Amino acid sequence: MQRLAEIEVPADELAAARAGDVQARGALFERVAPATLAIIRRLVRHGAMAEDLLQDTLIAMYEHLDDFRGEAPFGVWVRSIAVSRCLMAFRSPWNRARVAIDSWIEDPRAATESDGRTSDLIDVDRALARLSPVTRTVVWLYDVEGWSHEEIAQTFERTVSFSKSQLARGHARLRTELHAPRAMALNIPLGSEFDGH
Amino acid sequence: MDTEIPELVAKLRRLDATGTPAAPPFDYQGMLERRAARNARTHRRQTLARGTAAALVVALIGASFWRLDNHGEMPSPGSDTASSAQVSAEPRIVRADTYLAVAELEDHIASIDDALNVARVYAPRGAEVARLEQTRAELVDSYARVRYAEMVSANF
Repeated sequence: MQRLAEIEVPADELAAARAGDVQARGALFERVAPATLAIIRRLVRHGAMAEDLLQDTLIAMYEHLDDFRGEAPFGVWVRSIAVSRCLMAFRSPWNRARVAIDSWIEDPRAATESDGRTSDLIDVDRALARLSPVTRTVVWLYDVEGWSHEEIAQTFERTVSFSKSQLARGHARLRTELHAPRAMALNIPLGSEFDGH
Repeated sequence: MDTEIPELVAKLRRLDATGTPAAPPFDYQGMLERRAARNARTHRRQTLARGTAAALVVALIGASFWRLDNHGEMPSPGSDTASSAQVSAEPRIVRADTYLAVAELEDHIASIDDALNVARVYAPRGAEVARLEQTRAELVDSYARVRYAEMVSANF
């Protein structure tokens, strides 16, 4: 699957979508929706919430198509909207309660798929699922998406120190998780949201 | 321990690279339908919240005036104890609880603030920002009315 940040959109298709052409907008949806859902699921780890956030992200994308300047690939712009939407969801008391409750009800391991990946990747996926949403987002944005601490701090509206401490905390907990015995007793997400720093 | 971090990062990147394609559960048309349904739900909730707030304002002001009228009737020195007992036995509205209306209005204002923050990032002077500001002003107005009614009620 093509990564969201690598997705480019031909200028004519973009112009047609901006003009409100339904076919072009549908084609744009087909082009970006799967990769957008993938990154949202990676950050949120909650199926229904991820679908709602996908809808919010794509609606915002269509509403602000005129604001896209073409300075970076189209997917990078969509990714910034998606991350922003995820952070808004993390800040929502209702969503935080939902995630906390679900962490007790659902086994995060059930959300991971053994789709031909090696066992070490499945372990990493499980460990990632057990991080708090904020810590997981910082780790993913920095390590995988290649964001800088400054970009993360700006997006979270926090300091660079916040980003660095969350990353260090995330790495430490991932290491602990990966070295821990397989049978973990509790499924409580590790770390807390916006907990200082 | 330092060598573990590059290994961890490499695993995370491999995890990303081997991810299965995520098929969205709806297409473009489905997304528009979902959005329309959600907007309808939001509209119903806002209407309900405004209606509740307006009804509470009316009830609280009515109760305040009712209490004011009752306080205005000075008991005559010759009034007998039976009539005063009859009056005290009548039911009275002392206070209507506005907690739910206030909480709902605060939730709505907070959600509008979130949406405004996003809208201002993309188009600081856009129509969406104006629409959200208008909605926010209406909600704040309702909120102020409820708070004012509470204050009036408390003072009587």
